[in-house]
Amino acid sequence: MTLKIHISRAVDVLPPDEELADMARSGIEELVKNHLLARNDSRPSRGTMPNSSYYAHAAETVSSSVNGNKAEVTINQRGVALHYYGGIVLPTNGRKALAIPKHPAVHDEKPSTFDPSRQILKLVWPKGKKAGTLRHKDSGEIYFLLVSKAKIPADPSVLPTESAMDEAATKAMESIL
Amino acid sequence: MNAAELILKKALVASKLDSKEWNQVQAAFRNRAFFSSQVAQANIIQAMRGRVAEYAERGVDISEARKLMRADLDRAHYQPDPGKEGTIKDLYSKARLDVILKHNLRQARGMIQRARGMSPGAFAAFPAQEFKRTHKRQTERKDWPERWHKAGGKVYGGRMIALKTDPVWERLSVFGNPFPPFDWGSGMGVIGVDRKTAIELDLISDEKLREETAALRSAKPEAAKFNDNLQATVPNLRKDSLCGEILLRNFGDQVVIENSVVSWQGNLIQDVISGKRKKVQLGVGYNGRPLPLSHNFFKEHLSKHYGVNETNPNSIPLHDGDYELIPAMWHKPDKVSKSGDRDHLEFETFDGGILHLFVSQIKGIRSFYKTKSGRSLQ
Repeated sequence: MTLKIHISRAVDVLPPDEELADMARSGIEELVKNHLLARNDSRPSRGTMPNSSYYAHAAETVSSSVNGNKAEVTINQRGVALHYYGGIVLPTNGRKALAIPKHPAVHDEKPSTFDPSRQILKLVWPKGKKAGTLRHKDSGEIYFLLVSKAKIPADPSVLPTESAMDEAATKAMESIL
Repeated sequence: MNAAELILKKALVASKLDSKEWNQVQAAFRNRAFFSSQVAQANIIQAMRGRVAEYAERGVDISEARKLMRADLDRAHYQPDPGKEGTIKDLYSKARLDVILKHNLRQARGMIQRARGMSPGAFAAFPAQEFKRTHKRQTERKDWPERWHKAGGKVYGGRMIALKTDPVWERLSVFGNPFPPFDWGSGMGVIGVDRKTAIELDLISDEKLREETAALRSAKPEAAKFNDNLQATVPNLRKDSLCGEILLRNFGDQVVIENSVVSWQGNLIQDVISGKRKKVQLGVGYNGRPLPLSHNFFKEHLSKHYGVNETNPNSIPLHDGDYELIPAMWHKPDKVSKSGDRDHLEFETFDGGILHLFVSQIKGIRSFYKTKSGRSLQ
């Protein structure tokens, strides 16, 4: 995702503007990275599921550019825009449900990983219920929760506020003055 | 440059070196190579590089990326060594595929962020960085403070902080890199420390910082250095010494040793195709001779056979990765036959194709194309 931000102190007011722009963008980048890392730290672990460090990975993809009083921040991580803006996730490619891993054995996996001919997973979807499960055929443990759609609420706190980014850019520029 | 582009720029190095042996290779060489420990098949390495780049570029989820890589391995009739099934030495295992995908991606991202952090403006504003846990792990290594200390790092109020230019970062990393990851599967990373804090901690003076920033202004940006010819000096290195043999055997045409100086050859094929180098030469091949390659040949060739330019319905359009297999097929073709005064070399690729290289002993490469497996054109 890419955000466009207005910087109150235009970087072309002082020479060499290219280097000031570089300082401004590094200020924004460090702020966004730290924000995502703090978010990663504060996320509780989900039962027995391993922590995916999703926001720490997102922090590693942050880049930005500044030109005049316009800045662009890009986070090249799938799903960040969805969490920021919110939305509804629907199954694709003709599938009928979304599969949410619920067991450490299937962390980072999809049901399609399992060879259908081996019939390791058993589908349980009671009539009239909104959700089903894929369970291990022998142990009965729930491996995946199946839902027809998932609604992700918009969460602007995924990123620092634009004013915080503006302030970080200005602070980085002013640090050498 | 983004992570996917950086990964695709790496030269394919198929080698039987294991991870410990790879760590003996200088970081600057290793970072320019795409490899996987003990994988000596160039077409497997080529397929892996493509999948890792896809994973980096398109945000393909890791489950899908593993599935695609396993399909590649199936096409290559890959079988793990007996007794190694399911272990990290099995390319098919989740653990090994995750190492290939995640480690290469994190390393590319680390290198890019390092390059961005070493630009004059970024260095002036954030001249230092703190070493800290950034990724959660089920089992965390507890010895990082000790390793930091052994690498020569200092602790400030419980925080492990050093200038970005401090050699502590290279010493801390098992890969010899000043950026994360610092060890296999490590969850440690770095965050920037601003100018004011760095000066207050007496890591650097304001005057010295201005000097170092000025030096960076006149230096070539780190990102631009990536595929430059890189020279490394190994004292008293001879081609026939054990170290020389290891470098030449495993890096092949990528390195040249002259007067004890080891030179990295960039990405030979990409460089000659792009015209960055007009001529290069592959080392002694299957027939005991070197093979000269010229930009002019590739320029004309690309206009006829690359991607949508391919008009022969019996041929499969060629892509970058196919050209990069030329050194591998030159050294170890799957099949060699005679076609008039030319040698016809064949090499199986991952996408169900066969590369055909026709070589004349006098004129060098005469023809290069790809067909579906089992079909041979003349």
